Amino acid sequence: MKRRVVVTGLGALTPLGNSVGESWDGAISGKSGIGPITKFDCSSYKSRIAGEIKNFDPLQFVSKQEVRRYDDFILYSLAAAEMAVADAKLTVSPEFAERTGVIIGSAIGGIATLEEELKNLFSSGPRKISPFAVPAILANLASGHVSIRFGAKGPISCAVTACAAGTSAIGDAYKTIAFGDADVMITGGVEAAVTQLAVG
Amino acid sequence: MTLEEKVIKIVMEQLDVTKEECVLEASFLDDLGADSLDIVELLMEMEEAFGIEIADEELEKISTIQNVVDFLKQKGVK
Repeated sequence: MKRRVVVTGLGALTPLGNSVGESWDGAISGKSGIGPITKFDCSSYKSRIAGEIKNFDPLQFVSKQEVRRYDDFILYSLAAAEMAVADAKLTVSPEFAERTGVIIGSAIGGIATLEEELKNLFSSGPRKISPFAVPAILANLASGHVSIRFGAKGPISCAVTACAAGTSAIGDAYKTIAFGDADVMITGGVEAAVTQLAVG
Repeated sequence: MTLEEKVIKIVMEQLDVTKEECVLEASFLDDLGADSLDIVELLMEMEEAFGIEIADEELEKISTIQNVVDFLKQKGVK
């Protein structure tokens, strides 16, 4: 039997603003979040614009070590999840942990880290690959790191359906609750693909 | 900077710990909050900073800041 599902909290980090309020205000006032690329030198590229997250201080949400180790897509997902969980006033108690899951979609995961580690590999060999390369790159680890942060031990998954990944994740999270496999799901989409390879 | 001071500087940056916590007998796992991946990354940073290589068998023997200093001295690092 399908159960009713409701949204109880929101978090957002978008090219229009670093909160739900800012992003919404930007959207309804017709602002554009697209601008010149600042994340890398794109002077030789045909396309030199993108929708970048602006003026974001990750240290509001994560430690210095996490900033050093983890791809932006993981930092963004942790920040947005923090905002959503705070908005929902959600606490995942140990008794509730296995009924709380996370499904965060991402098309390509840690592609910037992948590019960086490939450079290390090809210039200096396999010994120079960071031990944190895999935890920073895998697309499902937005869900992974968020679940560790909040102690969610229910269904953890990732939708990898390209530009529809966020929407797919929300749909999957909805079904997970509706069909009784969890009572709470932290869900959404994340991308940090303004990189040399992805833009190229 | 002495060798000990250089090593402590790297440990502080890598593990995000204070100078006070970095006594020479401090254990990475037990005192400085590091896990096994942290230690691998820390020692990679030492390799980079001092221009040496640390083989896997040698890596296993390193658990304190003093161990790192002794190892570097053994390898001829000043």
